[in-house]
Amino acid sequence: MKQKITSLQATAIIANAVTPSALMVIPNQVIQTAKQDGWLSPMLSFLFILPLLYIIVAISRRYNGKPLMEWLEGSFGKAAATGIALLLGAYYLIGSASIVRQFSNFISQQFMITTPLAVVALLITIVAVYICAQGVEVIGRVSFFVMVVSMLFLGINLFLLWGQYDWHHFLPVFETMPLQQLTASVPPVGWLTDITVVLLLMPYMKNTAHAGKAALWGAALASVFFCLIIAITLAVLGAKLIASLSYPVFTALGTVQIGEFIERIDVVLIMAWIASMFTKASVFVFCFNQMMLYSFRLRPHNGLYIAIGLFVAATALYSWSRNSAVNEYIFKTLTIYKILNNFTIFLLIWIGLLFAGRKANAEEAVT
Amino acid sequence: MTAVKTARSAVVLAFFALLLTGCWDRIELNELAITSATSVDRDGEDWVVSFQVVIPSTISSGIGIMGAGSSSAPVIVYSTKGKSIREANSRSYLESPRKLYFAHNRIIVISEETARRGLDPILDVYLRNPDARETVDVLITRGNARKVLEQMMQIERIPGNGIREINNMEEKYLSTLPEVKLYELAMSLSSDSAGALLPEVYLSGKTETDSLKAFEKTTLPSKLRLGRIAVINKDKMVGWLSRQEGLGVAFIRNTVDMTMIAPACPDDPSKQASVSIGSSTTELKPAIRDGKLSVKVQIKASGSLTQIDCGIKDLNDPATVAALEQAAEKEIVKLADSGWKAVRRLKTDAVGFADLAHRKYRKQWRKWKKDWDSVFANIQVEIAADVTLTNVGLSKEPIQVERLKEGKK
Repeated sequence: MKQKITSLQATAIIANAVTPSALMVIPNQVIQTAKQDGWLSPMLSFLFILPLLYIIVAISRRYNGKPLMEWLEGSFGKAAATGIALLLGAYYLIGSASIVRQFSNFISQQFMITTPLAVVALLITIVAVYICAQGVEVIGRVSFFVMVVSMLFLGINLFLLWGQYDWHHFLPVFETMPLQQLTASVPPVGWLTDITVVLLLMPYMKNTAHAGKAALWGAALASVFFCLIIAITLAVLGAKLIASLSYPVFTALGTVQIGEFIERIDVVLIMAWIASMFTKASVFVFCFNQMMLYSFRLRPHNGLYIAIGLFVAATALYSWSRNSAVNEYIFKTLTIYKILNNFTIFLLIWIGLLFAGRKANAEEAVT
Repeated sequence: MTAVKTARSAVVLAFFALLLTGCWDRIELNELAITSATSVDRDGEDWVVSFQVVIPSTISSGIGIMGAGSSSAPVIVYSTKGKSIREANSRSYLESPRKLYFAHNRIIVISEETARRGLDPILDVYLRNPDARETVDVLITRGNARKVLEQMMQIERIPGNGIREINNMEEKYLSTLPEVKLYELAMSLSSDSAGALLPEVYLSGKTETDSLKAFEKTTLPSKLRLGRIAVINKDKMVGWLSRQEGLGVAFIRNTVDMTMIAPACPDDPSKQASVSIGSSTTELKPAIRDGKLSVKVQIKASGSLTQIDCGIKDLNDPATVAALEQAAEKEIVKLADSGWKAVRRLKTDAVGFADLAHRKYRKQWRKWKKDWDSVFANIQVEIAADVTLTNVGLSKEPIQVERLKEGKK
């Protein structure tokens, strides 16, 4: 039986595909440029993402119910569809690998210092591939559960951090020059472009007409989450210190201390965040798997999951020789790659569908 | 078939249980040396790091400083030396059978010499390494910081915890010395003001209480006490504030929660009353006069009278209370003024005026920040206080036996 997900689960998947790994880098990336006005940047980013949302809605309106690549093959031909699948496959492979590596680095630096990075990366990949192998329904259910738990834990942390907030850290407001503010909004745009996963999830949605709505809600949720996280970090640590910290969000959360009995409760949120990282990795591995199945005309098989897992883990481990290279890549190249890939490919698909539709209409008129 | 399934699930679960051991990072509790306090000294160009390590067997037994039937100290102190702090830390493996564990480290005591030479390396270590917690309290001591760690305390078995508690209580009830966590220190020093205040901890008395024998008496030959306030500019210590000056600065910085002041009696300045300040709010109003920055400090406090040795007769008389309030206001203004003069003398913006100037006058700030030290030196400060005595206590007049005996009013 073909697996199906609800619109709510699709929204959760989209939000989870954007936020978890961004959480580690967004405050640092944004505040370095926008300083105390950093909390405004995700709002601006949301505006920049609206054209992509329009493209998603436009594509989803023309959707005919077939699996995505088969549908594109029907419109553009086999070669073009395979080309798209390969390009997207490469994107999701790099995406999966960077998530696994970023996640492994964090675990390795914070908790499992002496455990070889390869072991951590392999364990993460095994979990991600396992979730992916269970199918899109499981990804949907897990994502929804993780999203609810993350919101709950974030709420708890927001409340517990109350004593640490210094609202003066937001002053003076609007000091950042418009150009700097625009520059600061680019990294969140990069992460938000991953809402395009909704087009790959569309064939599995119970109501495909809601794909656009799910993308919109996913993007809105992710933007609000970015705003909140940046604001919390700013309120606790101020703009200057954040710039020199690798994981400012977790540092800020780690400052909670109420009496002698409530302290270091950052692990509570980290727990939810770890769960969301697993689901994010599984979503990217799922998309990569879909593209590989189509590109090489493969059938789903357990052996394929093992191969994909090893490929992702190896790419994660051997693409960057040191952690600083991963950070450099994520801070600079990945943002541009995300924007170029997601905007360009789906814009071209949309334009292609427009032409294909006109051509079909013209042929119909002739006959 | 069900049995096979159950067996298979059991094997899978057992396999995954192996993954929960922590892999290469597995460590048992009895392999850890739980550190409750750390100190940092300098010896020439070398760093000397001392650790106050808890002895779990002594801590877990009975009550009292020595535990039931235990004659050994609850902590042990040892030092290591290295060219850097982390190198010194790593040398603990040369003498300790256990791995140092810093998750329960409560305080870091820094010697004055170390603080005067610069705090950057310490901030770097604590913000870089996951095993060092940035929530430790930072304190400064005059001489050798290790001596503070060696000192035992009454009531609290673990001195590191005890010092933190003293610091915490002092800040809560007196507000004179701030309790500063390491990340707060980093924030203050990286702010526009680039100034911070740290509490001093010192050993009072001549002989050190580093042996349990001292606890057989009701008085100790020496005690750990909080003293003055160290002033840090950029990352270096530049001087000390007295407790009075510290309280004055706390009033300006709006960090007074509760405190005690002793204003002179309105009728006889040689005698004092005691006012317990229950809440205090300070409003800083910056302005530019003749191109120069000036700051109006408006302190609004409320408190209760806790002692009076004045010749005042009726504390229910509004005029009497108003006179006492005026005396309290005068005292607060005097304290704040002395604090302001002290930080200006030390050329350190420990009152946060740079942040204030940046928030209010962002255009001018671009110019001022290039030479903030000279701008700071020329700031005109006006201090005013408004005190409300909400409570005069349970007696409506000063208790003076002679007067009571004669029934005089």
